[in-house]
Amino acid sequence: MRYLKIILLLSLFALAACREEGPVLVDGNAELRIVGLWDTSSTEGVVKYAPLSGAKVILNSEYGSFVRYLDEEGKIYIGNLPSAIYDVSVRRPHPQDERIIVVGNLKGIEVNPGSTVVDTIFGKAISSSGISINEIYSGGPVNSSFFFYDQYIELYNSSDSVKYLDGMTIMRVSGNSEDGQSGPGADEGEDGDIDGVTYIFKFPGNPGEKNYPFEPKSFVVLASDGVNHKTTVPSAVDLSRADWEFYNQYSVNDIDNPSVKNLFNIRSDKTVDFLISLNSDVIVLASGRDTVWSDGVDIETIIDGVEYQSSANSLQTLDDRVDRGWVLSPSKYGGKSMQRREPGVDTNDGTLDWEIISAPTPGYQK
Amino acid sequence: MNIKCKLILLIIFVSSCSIYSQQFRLNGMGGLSFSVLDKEMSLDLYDFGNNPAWLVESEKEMWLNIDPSISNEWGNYRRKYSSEGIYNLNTGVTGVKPLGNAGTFKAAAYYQYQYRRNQYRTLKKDTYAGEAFFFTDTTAANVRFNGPVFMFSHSMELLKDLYIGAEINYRIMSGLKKKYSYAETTYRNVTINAGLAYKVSNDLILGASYFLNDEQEKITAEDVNLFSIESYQFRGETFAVLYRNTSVYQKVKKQRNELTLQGYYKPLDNITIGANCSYSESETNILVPRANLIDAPEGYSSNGEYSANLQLQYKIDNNALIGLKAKYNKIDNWSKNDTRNLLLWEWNTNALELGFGGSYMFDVNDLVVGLEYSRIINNADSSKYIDYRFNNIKSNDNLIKAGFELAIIKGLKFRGGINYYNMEYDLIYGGKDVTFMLYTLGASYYYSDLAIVDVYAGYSDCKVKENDNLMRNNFNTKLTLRLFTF
Repeated sequence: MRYLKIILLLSLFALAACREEGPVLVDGNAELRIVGLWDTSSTEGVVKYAPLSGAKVILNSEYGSFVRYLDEEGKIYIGNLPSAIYDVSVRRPHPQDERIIVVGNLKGIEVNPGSTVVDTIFGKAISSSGISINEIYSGGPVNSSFFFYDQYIELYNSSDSVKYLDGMTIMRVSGNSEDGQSGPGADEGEDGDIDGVTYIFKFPGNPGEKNYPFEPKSFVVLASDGVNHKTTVPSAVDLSRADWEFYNQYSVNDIDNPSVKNLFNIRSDKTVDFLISLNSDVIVLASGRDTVWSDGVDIETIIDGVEYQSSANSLQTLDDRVDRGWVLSPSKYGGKSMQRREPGVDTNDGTLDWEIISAPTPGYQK
Repeated sequence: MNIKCKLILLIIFVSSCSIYSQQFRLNGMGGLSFSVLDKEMSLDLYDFGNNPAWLVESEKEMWLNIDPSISNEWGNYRRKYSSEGIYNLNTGVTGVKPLGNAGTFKAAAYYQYQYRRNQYRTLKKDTYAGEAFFFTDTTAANVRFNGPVFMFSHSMELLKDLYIGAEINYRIMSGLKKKYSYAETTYRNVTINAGLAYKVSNDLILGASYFLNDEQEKITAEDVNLFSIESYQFRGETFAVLYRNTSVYQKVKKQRNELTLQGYYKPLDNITIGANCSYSESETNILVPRANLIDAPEGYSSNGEYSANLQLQYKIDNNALIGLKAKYNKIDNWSKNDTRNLLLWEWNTNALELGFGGSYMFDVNDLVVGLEYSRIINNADSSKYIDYRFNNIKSNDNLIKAGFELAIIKGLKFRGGINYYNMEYDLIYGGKDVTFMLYTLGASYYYSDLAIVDVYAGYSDCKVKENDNLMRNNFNTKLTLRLFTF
């Protein structure tokens, strides 16, 4: 009996001894100190930095994005951060000209537990960058009948001059997804183009012609169908005043509003309208100078490209030379949209340039 | 109400029951525990020490319980992810069959139905289980869980004075959230309790038991009606990773091992002592699909618990009894982010309960009156690093229980009881100066030696002194039909 008791007691101690020890390092105690500066020099060769006082700071990580502001000295301290890899963007309107945005980005800052990361972000004034994709509304309005046909893409001319849309092409890139391929928008074969074009529609005319002006600092809305979708679903968008609509001349039943100009399909094998994925796709705007889309679209002819994905742990497939990030899309049928944080401001990093907005804003920006 | 409806309600009522609800006498007497002699809550190794080896000595009679129960909980004194209210309906039977030299067999089969009203976002069955992980979608909705539970237990005297026994529980439940994301839960729980007991003498019995709990909860939400599923895996309460897809999935795996030593000692004819001490450790794994892995580790939580419990009953004479209780419990717990091996939260608690009480049986109408008082000293230390929240709480609580039993006529007994529980600080819900009141009523009818019918009803309310608007209420009722021949 005594042996039995000893065995039982030893078992008790043995059980107590085999429990795993907890980690030594804790999560949630990292710090980030950032100074935002920008070059205010007006004379070439003379560098004069000023703090980006009051600039918006956007932190992006696996935990989503959140916004803070630099203080008057252009500094910010963010404590109690969980360990993660952060992308940081600092942006503020130019003090002399609000049409110009001062933007600075830092990508891939590894914030380790217990560490203090100190870094300086140098902002650059961004303006007159030309035409860019400014908003993508793809997810559909709030509804329970799976309606999503009020999709549109908005372009913005952020330059100070009139641009012309003649001959430009706009593409949905969702192919190149077979086994062994690098995914939509990747440069398969490294031949200087992106692959996987599934739909390609074209503005009338040819590149270089000047029949379809795009006024400076203005928006252009490209509707899937330029009609008032509210008649179908009350929460949908009225696109009857859109500037352009996608019209597939190879379709027998595509809607054509005669008061809205048409973009035409240049793929005769595609007989449905230009519809994009609700929460995961690649949209590309090109000059139209590369007329052979089937072997890929030359990167040098691409004006802008945006990749949006549904999940925070998605992998980017669009070639880095088109854009270095991707946008986390809103959920389906939520009535939300994606747009650039500032109209037309394109730092070539979709992750930091774009945000989700609560309602679509066709032809304007809130 | 037509007869069909009445019949359905009667069947629901009669067929619902709480699991293993055999302490109906003490429940009706306000939950008195150590100060009243009760056949089903003695200090032996089975009732007090939960050692299945002693079943053969603890249960000498054959019986079958049919136990329906129904309860409703409601109120706004709750935590973020708690539901606004819960209905519980349970049904089933428990039976004991002595088999002579082959020992004693006990079995139970129940069906449980739980309906949680307006539960906020959380998709886990047991949201607050001491881990730093939450799994949510974006809506508040009603959630139901239902499924069967089976229990088998057998005990026998293996050698002279050496007893062995084992008990197996198997529970499976399915859950459904009745609104987007329409998450479905499959929950499986298996427990094994194996024990040894040795009767050193009639006055001294020692035992040991090993308890294994293995449970798995699988939560899936599929793309319903073309809506993508938006879910959040929280690490702590502030930071969450978004998962949005046509289907989302999480698996929670838990395992617990516990070793308990028990003792029963009767130094004098009128003094009985029951004691047990245990150590348990458990681990929780949160698994999510990531890249090519179906079950990639996301979170891990470890729990260690020490517990010791001592009770003494001193029978002054045939009418009066004094009871003493001392209980100590210590828990250490930590959770880590498994993807980076970083500590998110560590907490520990220790609680000491000291109680004394007594009961007296009057000669008139077998009236039994009991009173118990317990002083509970709680200490809790929590460091939630991920949320930058640190707490160190001490709470001195007082628990008073009073109850009576009265034989009105031969075979018919009425019971009543009241609990007053004052918590300086509610460690679970966070309220200060919280008062919990419980009122119980019960009645038993003994139909010769064939059957007992017992009914119980309890109502409780929990109030926070600082805020009169915060309350939590519970009403539950049970019916037990015990048959001695079947």
